[in-house]
Amino acid sequence: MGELVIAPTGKRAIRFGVCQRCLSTDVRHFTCHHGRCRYCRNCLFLGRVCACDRLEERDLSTAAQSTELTMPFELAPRQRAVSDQLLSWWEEKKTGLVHAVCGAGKTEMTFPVIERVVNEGKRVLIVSPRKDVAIEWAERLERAFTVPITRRYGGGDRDSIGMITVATAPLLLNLRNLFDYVLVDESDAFPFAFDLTLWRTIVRAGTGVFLFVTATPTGWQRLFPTVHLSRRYHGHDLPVPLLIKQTDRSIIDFCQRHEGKPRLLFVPTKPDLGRYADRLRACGLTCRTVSAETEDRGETLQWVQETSGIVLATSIWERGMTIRNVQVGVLESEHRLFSMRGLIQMAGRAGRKPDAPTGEVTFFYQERTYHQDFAISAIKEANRR
Amino acid sequence: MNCIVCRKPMQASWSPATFFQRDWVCPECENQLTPLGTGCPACGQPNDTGGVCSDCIRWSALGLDLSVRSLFAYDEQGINWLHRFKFGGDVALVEQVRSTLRSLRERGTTYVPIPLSEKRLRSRRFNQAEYLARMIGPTQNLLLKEEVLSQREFGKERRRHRSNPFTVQKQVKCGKIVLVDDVYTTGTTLHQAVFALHQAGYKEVSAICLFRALNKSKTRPI
Repeated sequence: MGELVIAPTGKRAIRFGVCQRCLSTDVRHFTCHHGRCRYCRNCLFLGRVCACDRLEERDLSTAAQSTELTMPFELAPRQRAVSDQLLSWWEEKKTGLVHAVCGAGKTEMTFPVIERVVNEGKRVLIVSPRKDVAIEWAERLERAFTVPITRRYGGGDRDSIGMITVATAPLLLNLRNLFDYVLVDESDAFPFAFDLTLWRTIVRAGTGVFLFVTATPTGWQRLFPTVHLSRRYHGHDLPVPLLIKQTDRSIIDFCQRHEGKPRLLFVPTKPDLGRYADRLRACGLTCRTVSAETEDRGETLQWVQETSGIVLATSIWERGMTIRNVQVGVLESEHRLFSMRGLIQMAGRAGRKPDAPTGEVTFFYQERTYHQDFAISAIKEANRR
Repeated sequence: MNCIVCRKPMQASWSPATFFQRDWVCPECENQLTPLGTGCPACGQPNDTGGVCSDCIRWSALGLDLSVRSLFAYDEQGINWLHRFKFGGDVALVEQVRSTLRSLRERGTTYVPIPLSEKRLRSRRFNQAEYLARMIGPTQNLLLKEEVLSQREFGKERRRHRSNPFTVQKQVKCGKIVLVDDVYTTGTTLHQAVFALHQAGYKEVSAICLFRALNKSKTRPI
């Protein structure tokens, strides 16, 4: 029940070649002041632990506060059904999965249950895969709730917790059994999908009640009791992707056809960004590129919204990002880095606002693959349901 | 397997040798630290002519002629690297400079690291200079350091006018001695250590520093 700190008493920090704080096995031998010793390279950003350190659980409790909720908009009947389901899961202390299509208003549907949990004096944790998404969550929560929101991600406040905490997973490494309700947003996204120790981190930070929220759950997440929502909150269909043979001509046609609307082109890898940007510029189209190394992604987001320009992005923008009236193209959609779930998420960027509920999604291909067909059939099935 | 500095996955082609190789530094990180160009032969302070700089003339006027071999410039990347290594405690980073340090090894030479005081060693848990010295060759802990205040709070004047914290703790019969330190800023630390070694009767002493701070001694002569 608390936070792990380095203390003179307690359990050894590294046992059996495993760091007890982050469960990593990237443990290196080195010479400590007393002789041969080991340290963990994975959690250096929390302060180094070596084998001669001991970790102790210090109690980290904050005063319980109650909150009031002002919903940003009235929930539609379908959304209300989902949020009622979430409330009943919380009553039974059950873990569940919300399988809702992209742009269904997943964030707002969880607000009633968050309010209920907080008013019962329990702590809520919201884990998001990336900092951008965490910031987005924190801003929306701040507008809806009266209780202060703690931001535990890089650049925010890294050491404190509150009644509602928004966090990225690596900063939860030293917390144990603190949060009574853990909401894992985009639970199939990049850091969780590949790093199993991050799952253990989240499991150890919570006390057992979880809620997975995603549009594209993985196999084992489907085993939890699931509530489906396959309509967007404005009631329109999801845009079904078109398959177009990729040539330079077809890409430029796509850009020129949607002159005056923001256009978002996804490319598989970072070197491709420069390649395609050069080709577009050679044809007199101005564009910007976004990758994980871009410093001011928010500024680019604003630029594309205001000037209706073209943005080339890697899969960093495949989730948790909304541009009004955007047209989406996926270049080289047969690339192995574009998974089925990634393609579904990218197609879900289009038509998310009620005043622009449609948009064109195009998968440019050189080869037809199973992944493209699966993504398209999954979207069609969600429309039919 | 990832690069130990930037954690990017390894791009080299896979072979049975890579199976046993735990540490790998990607080519971008290899070229991250900038080697020093032509400079003062005694301390490595970069200048165009390759003549002895004013600081070193002053040191030799005091009777201490020490030639320091500096390897890298203490610029932005150098500061980052050293902070991760020394204050962050990421000892595995030393793999990046291992081959550079190893090529400095000479026969019949003893490498003596600049020691930390007892209290500092307790809090930092390791001596960064000793690590670097071990990378080069056989080491001997000849020196002892008594407690002084942290150097970083002092200005240049104060740093030069303090008493010698180093004492020689044992007499060993060894040939040439090379002192090893991490950063050369004003040279006071190294010259004090050399002074202590000279007094104890060691004649042939030189030094190796990993970084050379590019100080403003031209604008503010001492």
